[in-house]
Amino acid sequence: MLIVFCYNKNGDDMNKELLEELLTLALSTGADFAEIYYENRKRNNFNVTSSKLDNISSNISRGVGVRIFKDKEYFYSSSNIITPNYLRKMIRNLVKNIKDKSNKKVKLNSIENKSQLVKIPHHKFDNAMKKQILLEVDDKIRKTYKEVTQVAVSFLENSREFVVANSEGKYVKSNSCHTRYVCQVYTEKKGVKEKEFYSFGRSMGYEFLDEIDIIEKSLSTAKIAVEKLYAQDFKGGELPVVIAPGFGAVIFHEACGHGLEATSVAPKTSVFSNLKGRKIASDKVTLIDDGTIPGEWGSSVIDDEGETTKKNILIEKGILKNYLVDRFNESSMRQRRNGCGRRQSYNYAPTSRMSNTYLAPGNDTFEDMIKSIKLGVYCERMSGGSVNPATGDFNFAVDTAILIKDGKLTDRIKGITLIGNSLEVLKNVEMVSSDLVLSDGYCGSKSGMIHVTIGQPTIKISKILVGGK
Amino acid sequence: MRYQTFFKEAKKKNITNIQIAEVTKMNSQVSFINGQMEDYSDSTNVSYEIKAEYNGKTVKTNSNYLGVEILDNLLLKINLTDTNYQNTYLETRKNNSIKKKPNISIVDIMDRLKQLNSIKENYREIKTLQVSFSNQYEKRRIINSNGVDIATDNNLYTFYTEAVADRNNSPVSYNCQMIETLRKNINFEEIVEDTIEKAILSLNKEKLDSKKYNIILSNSVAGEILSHLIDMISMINIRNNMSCLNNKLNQKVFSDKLTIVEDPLNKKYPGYSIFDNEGTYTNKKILVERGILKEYLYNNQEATLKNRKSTGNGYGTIDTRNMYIPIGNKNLVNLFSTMKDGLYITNFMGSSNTSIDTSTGSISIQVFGFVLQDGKIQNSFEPAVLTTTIFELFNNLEEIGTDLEFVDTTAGSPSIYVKNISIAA
Repeated sequence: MLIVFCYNKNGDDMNKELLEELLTLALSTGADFAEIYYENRKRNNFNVTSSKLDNISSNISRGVGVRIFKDKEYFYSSSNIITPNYLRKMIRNLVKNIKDKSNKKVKLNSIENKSQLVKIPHHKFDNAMKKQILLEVDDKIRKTYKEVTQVAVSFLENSREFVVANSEGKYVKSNSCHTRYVCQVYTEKKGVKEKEFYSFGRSMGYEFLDEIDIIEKSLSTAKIAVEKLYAQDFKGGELPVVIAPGFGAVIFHEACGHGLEATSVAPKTSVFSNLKGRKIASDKVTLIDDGTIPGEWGSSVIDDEGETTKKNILIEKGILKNYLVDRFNESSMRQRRNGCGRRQSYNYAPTSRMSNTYLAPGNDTFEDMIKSIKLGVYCERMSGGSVNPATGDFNFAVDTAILIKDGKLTDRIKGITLIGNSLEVLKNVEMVSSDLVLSDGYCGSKSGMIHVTIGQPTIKISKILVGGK
Repeated sequence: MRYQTFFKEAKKKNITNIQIAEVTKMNSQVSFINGQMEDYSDSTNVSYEIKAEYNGKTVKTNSNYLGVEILDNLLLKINLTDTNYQNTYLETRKNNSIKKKPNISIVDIMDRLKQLNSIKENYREIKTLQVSFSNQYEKRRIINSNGVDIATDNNLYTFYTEAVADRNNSPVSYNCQMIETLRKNINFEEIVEDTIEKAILSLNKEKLDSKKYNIILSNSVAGEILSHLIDMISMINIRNNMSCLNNKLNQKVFSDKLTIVEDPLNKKYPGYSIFDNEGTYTNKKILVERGILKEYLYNNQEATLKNRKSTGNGYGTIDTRNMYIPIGNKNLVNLFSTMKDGLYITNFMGSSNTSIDTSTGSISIQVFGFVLQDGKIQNSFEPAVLTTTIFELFNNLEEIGTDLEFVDTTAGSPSIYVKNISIAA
């Protein structure tokens, strides 16, 4: 017997009473707060490789997560065994961690529906059409570039329905729908192998195809994969760099985004702990996290704690203004939660996470940036990165780059990684242009792998360590 | 839905030869920061990898429950996918079951974990000490519509600690993770002491010159890099020409000092597994022998397409259990004295899928560690970038240590000494 999404013939909610009983049980040993999260999730990935639909990888899952807080400690339990009796047993085991007593009875409000409207849900878009589009892309790339040895193109579909009920009476249901196109092109010449990657993901259904010219973007990806075959190794060093708009913002995601999440600020394990109100970056840096942007990959109507998502200004003209704060950390942080409690699935307790994080546009121009550099690197496409919030040390890989010499773009170079320290690099942001672009990606951290958008206009960093060979 | 009902519902839709890998995972985890419990979590999950046949075509899907919608998902794949193969199914097996209930409680160790913070009190430079401990239990059961019902299980303990040292607002950190099949093998206090001492040593940083260095990769760094070999020798990537080791079978690709084996049947190692998720029995095999690539990894699908037998590496996708570089003759101290001058790399960071690119073999990672002079650890070095290829790294291999550790159930390595690798700083 399922406990949620269970309605009788009249559409009445059949779960409320059971959820109230379970939440009351969760408070019975003195917890300050209890929450039950349920989700039902479906994922299908249509993968065309070697010019055929090689595989549709899929996963259909559902499960429940229960968490309780007491003072500064929290306890979490999750399972996909979701019968009422198993849930009672699971909660009884969980509450043993708290040795107090409470007679508080939980009363839930009427359920709120905070669902997102999806124009073309995954199952409504013809599956044969998905396959046809992917095969057409594959064919066009192979006919255009003879150096191409493999094309892997995919549509990734991920949808879920979820319910959050907590001991404060919150009772809300919502959904999410993510659709993404991914193109990987492999090339080879004279024993040199290269690869290029492109993705476009939106928090919506197949209406996302109206926002992208798949053929054009895929051919341009293939073109770069071919050009990379002729790229030169580059000896690294400390240099000025210009970073192209879009995914280049991984530098802000890694350099300071993670360090501004309450999950590392509250236990004082972030280099940005206790710096609110202080100047931490150059005047050019205004950094925003906004989970409300319609259709963006990291957007949602509510977060995974049931809170309405918000636009949060994290850094304004170099001054640290706000942290990202979740329900558990708000008391120790003395800052109200701001709609950023997120998780990969019911197996993870939610915590403060980024959603759509971007650097606000400025007034500088790309031409002026390139002209101002005698020897440096233009980072055209970025890949992922990682950070240690405790020290601020971060890195990110540069997928494609061009050498800047005497104020001009020259040869394509490869094998580049940028590394630095958060507190230093933020002060070295020297120029910011107006051409803001947002890009989709995934972010892995304490509460799992989640959808995030990162974005920035073109920027110039006066110096950073460029690793090469 | 119960198995027999599921099989019956499948039959109504002409879906036959169903085989299910039922994987039950139980996990308990706790972490402390500076002696204060940060979080406690536990989970119990049962998931299903389902393989089925329709009109001679085999397809697979994943779910964590059994229902009619799962069968509909199988039909979607049958109708749309182009890779056509008929799989082999386990016909007869001596069935077995695991009756004992696992005890994965970690409550009895909470006080000991909390007390580890007292070690930090002796070191004023240590600002933060984090310790995490988890116990994971996994049971795998293979059931099919031909009456097969076999099971195996595995129990693991993982201890992680990270110390952050700070002097003049310039924090540095050092971390260590240990994975063991027996809890008594983890000496918590010793690991924390060593981690703290290394964190303090890291406070004295020096900037490196950009040039080629002789390096020693710690066992954890070498193990993490080795784990990327799985994608390089996975037959899925080989078949699709997406690996840098395509067409290299029986060729010399690495130094003749390098041998790599997979031994899922070794109970002392964390990836113990007598059969894979498709029920294929595993065996010890040599993947690389004295630098020669000897084996690609197959699951049932890839094996059927090549008209050969699976290598027992079907774990959802293709994966290994207990893949490692066999130990050499020198312990870490002897490796240090053999190398004399160079870098001891104890940690690295990078992007999950591009820093070590399995299709091109390129490696570009941010590295952390210590400068070695005359065989002794001196200062730490400021984070730098190591750029190489898997071919250069394993061809420049000079010596192999004796300190074999596993990074997870898939791979492990002793520390290794490698000559002449580019470092940018």
